[in-house]
Amino acid sequence: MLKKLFGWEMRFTYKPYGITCVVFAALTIVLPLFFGKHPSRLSASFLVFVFGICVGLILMATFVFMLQGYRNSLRTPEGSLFFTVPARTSTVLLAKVLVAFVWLIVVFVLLLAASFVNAHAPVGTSLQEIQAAFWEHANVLIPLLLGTLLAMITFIVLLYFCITSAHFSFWRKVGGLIGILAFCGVCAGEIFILVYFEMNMANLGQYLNRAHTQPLVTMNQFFTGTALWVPVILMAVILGLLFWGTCQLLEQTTARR
Amino acid sequence: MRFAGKEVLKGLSLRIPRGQIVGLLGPNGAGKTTLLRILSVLLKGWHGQAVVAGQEIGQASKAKVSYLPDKPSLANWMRVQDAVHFYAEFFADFDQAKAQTLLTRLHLDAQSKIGGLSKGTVEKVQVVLTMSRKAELYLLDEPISGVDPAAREVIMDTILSQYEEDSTIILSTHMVQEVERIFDSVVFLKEGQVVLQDAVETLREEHQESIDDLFKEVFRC
Repeated sequence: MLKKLFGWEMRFTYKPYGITCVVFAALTIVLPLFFGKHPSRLSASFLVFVFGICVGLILMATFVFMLQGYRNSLRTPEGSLFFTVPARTSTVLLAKVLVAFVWLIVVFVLLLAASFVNAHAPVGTSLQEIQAAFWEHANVLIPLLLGTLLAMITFIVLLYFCITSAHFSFWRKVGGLIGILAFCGVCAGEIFILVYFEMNMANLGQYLNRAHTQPLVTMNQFFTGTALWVPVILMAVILGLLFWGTCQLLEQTTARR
Repeated sequence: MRFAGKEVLKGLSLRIPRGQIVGLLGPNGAGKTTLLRILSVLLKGWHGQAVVAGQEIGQASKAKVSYLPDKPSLANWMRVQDAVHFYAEFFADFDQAKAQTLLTRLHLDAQSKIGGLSKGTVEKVQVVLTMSRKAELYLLDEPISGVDPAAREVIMDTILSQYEEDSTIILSTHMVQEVERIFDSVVFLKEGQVVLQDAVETLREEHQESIDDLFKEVFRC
């Protein structure tokens, strides 16, 4: 069922995302590659300027499509189609999250490709140099990358959680405001947890150093080892809670008005 | 059941026997759509019990219920053929051959885009999809509202000809005159409560008037 829902959700969403990605790729990958061969025609600063604007636009567009797509699935008759199929609410929600995640990944990969092309053209950084740099810091970058992916899914689910909250009949009149407050609240909570954790780790390290005790690991070792995985685990817990919360809200509210 | 701070269905108790075509009649805001959405599991967060074919409504009952919403639920980008594939993929009881036959009979082009069709034509497509399922319960919410009289005839004939004898149809409408010929029994709903429920023949004999006239009498402002 998840596979079918995923396939249809992709078909429902591919147009806006697809067009945006193609335009972005044309402006930030194809254009610099073409003009990179003819540097006299276009200055590097102009390419960087175009790149900056395009990155801003694609991120904004992705956010809007994600927000609008999910909102429509709750509020418009078209959206009700998915909620009439014999599937669990959690499966329908998971399909929507996965599709949004796939599109975010596509955007992410395009951003990386565009960054590489735009860095390579004016600065001359080669792919080998980037690869070497990556593997040199792999112990930090791998949890960081995983954390980023988890943060992306969490962001999607957080967005869906907020829209579903705003849709709850209890506060229909101030629905939008509730959504924004929920978004800010959860974001603040996430930041607090992560900062609190980092501060405690720093305090612990200082204490251990001041006490002239031999710490089990140095701060650097700790942060590039275990400590970097803790935010990842925390993020996974937050993600699970948000997903569960969204399912509960969907179960309590209507699939359509 | 409360909706936007207002109680929509109050202490509603209703038992509908299998194999009947039931008219759910009432003025706008009587709670007809709310009741159908509850039965189709689109509306949640209400209190009470609803049983379809011996099973409490929920994920499993969705497979037994074929629901025609009051507004078009097919996306504009879809072709009629896509909508058929959607139903075929998700509903095990969907008869694709029957759907194709009905589309041909109603002169509906499978390659047409939903966005380019008139309201009446989209309604016909939705009726075809809904009635091509071998469901135990068909919930038809205002299937003829907003369509021209010719299309109304076609839609009603399609519903009648495609309905399985042992299934139940609940059809909500406030356009009683056009559809009363097909009902076995009717339920009059007013402000979320059942005010009258009986077999059509019994009501006609008792009141010596048509269901349409009775409807006007009961719901006269």
